[in-house]
Amino acid sequence: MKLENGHISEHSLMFGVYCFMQASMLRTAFIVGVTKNDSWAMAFTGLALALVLVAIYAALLRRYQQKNLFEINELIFGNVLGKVFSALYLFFFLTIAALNARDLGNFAESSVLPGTPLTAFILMFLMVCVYAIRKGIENMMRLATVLSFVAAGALVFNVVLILKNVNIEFLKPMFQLPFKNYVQGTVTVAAIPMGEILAFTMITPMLGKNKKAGKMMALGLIYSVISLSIIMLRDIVTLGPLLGIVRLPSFESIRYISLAGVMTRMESLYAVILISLFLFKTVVLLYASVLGLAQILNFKSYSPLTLICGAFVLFYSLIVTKSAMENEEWGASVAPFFSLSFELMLPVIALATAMIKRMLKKKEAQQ
Amino acid sequence: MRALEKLLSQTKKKITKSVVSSEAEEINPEKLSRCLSENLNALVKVFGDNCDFVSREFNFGRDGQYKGAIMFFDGLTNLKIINDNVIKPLMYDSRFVRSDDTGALESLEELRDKLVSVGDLKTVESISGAIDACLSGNAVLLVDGFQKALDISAKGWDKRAISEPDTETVVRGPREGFIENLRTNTALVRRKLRSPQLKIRSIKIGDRTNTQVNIIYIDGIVNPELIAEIERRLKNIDTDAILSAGNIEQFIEDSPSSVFQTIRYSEKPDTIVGKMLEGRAAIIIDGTPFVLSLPMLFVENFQSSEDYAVRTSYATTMRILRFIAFFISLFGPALYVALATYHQELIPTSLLITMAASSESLPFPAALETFLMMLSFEILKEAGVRMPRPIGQAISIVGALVMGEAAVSAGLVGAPIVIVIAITAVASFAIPFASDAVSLLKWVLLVLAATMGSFGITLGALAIVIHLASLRSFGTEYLAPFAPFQTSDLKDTLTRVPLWKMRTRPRALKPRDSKRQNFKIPYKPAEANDSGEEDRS
Repeated sequence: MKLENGHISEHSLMFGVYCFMQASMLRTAFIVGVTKNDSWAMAFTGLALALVLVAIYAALLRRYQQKNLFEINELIFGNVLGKVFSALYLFFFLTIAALNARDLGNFAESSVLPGTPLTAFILMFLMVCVYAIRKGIENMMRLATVLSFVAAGALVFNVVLILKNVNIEFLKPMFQLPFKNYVQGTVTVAAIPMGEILAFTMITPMLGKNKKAGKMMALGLIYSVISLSIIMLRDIVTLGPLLGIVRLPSFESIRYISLAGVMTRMESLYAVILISLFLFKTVVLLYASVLGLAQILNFKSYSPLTLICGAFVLFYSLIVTKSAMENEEWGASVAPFFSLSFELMLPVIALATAMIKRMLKKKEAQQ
Repeated sequence: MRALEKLLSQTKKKITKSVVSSEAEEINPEKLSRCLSENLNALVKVFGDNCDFVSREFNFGRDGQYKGAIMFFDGLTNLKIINDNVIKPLMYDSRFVRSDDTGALESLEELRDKLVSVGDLKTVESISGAIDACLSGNAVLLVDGFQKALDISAKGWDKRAISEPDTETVVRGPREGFIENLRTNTALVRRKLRSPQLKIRSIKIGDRTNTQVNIIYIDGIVNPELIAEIERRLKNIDTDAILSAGNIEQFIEDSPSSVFQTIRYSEKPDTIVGKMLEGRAAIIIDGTPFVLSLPMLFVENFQSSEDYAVRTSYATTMRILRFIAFFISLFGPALYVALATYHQELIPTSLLITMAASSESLPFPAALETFLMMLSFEILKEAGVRMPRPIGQAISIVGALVMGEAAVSAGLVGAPIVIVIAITAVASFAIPFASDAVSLLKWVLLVLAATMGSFGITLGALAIVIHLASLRSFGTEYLAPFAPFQTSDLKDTLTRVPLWKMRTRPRALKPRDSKRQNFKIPYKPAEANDSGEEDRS
């Protein structure tokens, strides 16, 4: 029995990945703290690592056609152990959903409406997320294309408008930091925004018999890496030494835009796009959790669980970090290892087990 | 028209009663009897109480040996046809048969073939068939000795002349509009589409009103599954009355709870034909000048038939202008409240000073001010529509003066809010099809803006977009071609590309024949002569 009957096109998936990744624009502060003015390059080195992750996911998805991550777990590890693995993934999805909701809350609290309680933002935000999932994730995925164009268009627009404020000198000195920093930056970039596309393995079965899931995820990732490096380059050349001080570099750099007194305060437009992207990302993560939970509990439909999961994410996001500073500290130090254990370790174990199982089966057949 | 429908429903009520009572007396009440007086009795029992029911008995034949009777409703029929083409041939001409001819009638068909000179003639064999014929405006001819009756089409009731519709006025383009008469409406469509592929199917809906509903489409363009689905939904309707297009709309639409309409209506034949040529189907309902076209896309809210009659650049500008008007009418008051309450830093300083100075003496917060002004505007709008026309105008003028001038000078509301409300109102008139949805949603957005500022507006807007993306209209995604994204369909959305560039029909509608034309660049006369001339005709 299938829990999800929607269908999406391969392009929707690609643009979905792009939108999902663009929502992490704010989190560039993690990397900027480590690799300073060379951060833009980290997008590309991180991509190399992230493509390995995508290859692993694609291998898993190819082996088990039209199955999502949680179904694959049960097929590989059996009913009980599979559910344990699924529960681990569920924890991971819920955690990053909560972290994203919290990120958005912090952003809104600091930049949009200072003084409003955090809970109000996150509550309202998650209500819309729940509404979106109840209306069908396929509709959200279909919106991804337009949302991508809007996000990319706004980026180009911003970059063009800010050109008069940039100073290329800020890129110097290039690659003078200790090698360790670059490794750390690469791993952070690969783990935190990029590896989170693991959540899309819950959506890929909606492609139907189409086998291009891996390719589309990789393409989406590549496009988003280009955007990400442009964003970081823009921030570096605009802000320079300020980069390490401000909390939201992309937000601050757009503030510089001022064209004849007409094109000013662009960051308010940018905030709208950012909230939309955050919504998209959280919807995908929340959907992955809801669908996964329904599968673990053998529910016939996932829609009764959306509100429960939404409420859970609300409370989880309130306690997941004590403050925005702690969140940033965690993101720069522990988060990559936390994320990679779910994004890399568990899928590798699953893939290895599946391969061994198949080899054993082949041997049995030969004997 | 309303009175007529009421009358029809009353008579129908009586029929059902009398049929039930006569069933007890006779063995086969449905079949017509051989005896004229029995048939007459049966019909008079049904229609006897009606003063507009005419039952005329007469003798005809060479020697006046046949007894006949003709029955019809006065007012629904054209008396000239009945007198000149039915009664006169029978009573007068039938006496002048040749002497070698006995003038004997073999069958009723002979009468039909030789004497009654009316184009549309049918034979009915049952009493219910005769009743139906009378009610739909035909005359029924009964002859003694035959178990059949002739259903003579002599419809002729008063109808409105074809005029320019008030709801969709155009500067260029045809001005004729649909009227309340079904056949006139189908004729208006057929006159524009002289193609054998134009198909008109009929269904009767409503136990009491028996309203004729026609599905009209172009065979070969429209997706057959769409027609099957429309027929299925129409046949599923189980109601006693269909009085307007809106009634049908509510029975067959996909999401009745949505504020957005998912079925487009129009009063103009050229609009409907244009929609049909894109691969849609239309539903014409007897008794209403509004013709439904479906499936509907969100962008149709912003399309006008005039867009295709004016130059491309102008049409595109108008399209974009309508989208802006939609945006203003939806977000105008909410944005004002959010800016004035939470985001003063986004307002240019000089304006902020003016606003602060003017709002210093105001008693209410911006949100409440906006609320009151929006409320009074909505009341004014409703009063203007409902009041008898001469009074309505006076009320609008007084209301506008009191609202605009007096409220500001009395210090109840600020001047900026009057401007915002005025712009919002004018903008909502630029998008007549979406204005219903907008006038509801702007309240929701106002509440969101008053509580959560721009954050609330953003989330509200996102929820609206998600809602729009989840809507379906007869299997078509409402937000197509934006979601799902379809590049080739974008030609007729925010932009209106030149007509000769619209080579394909919208893919979202899944037409059977997606190619519309094959026309190259028009300013090369040599090429244009080869392929383009036919498309223009």
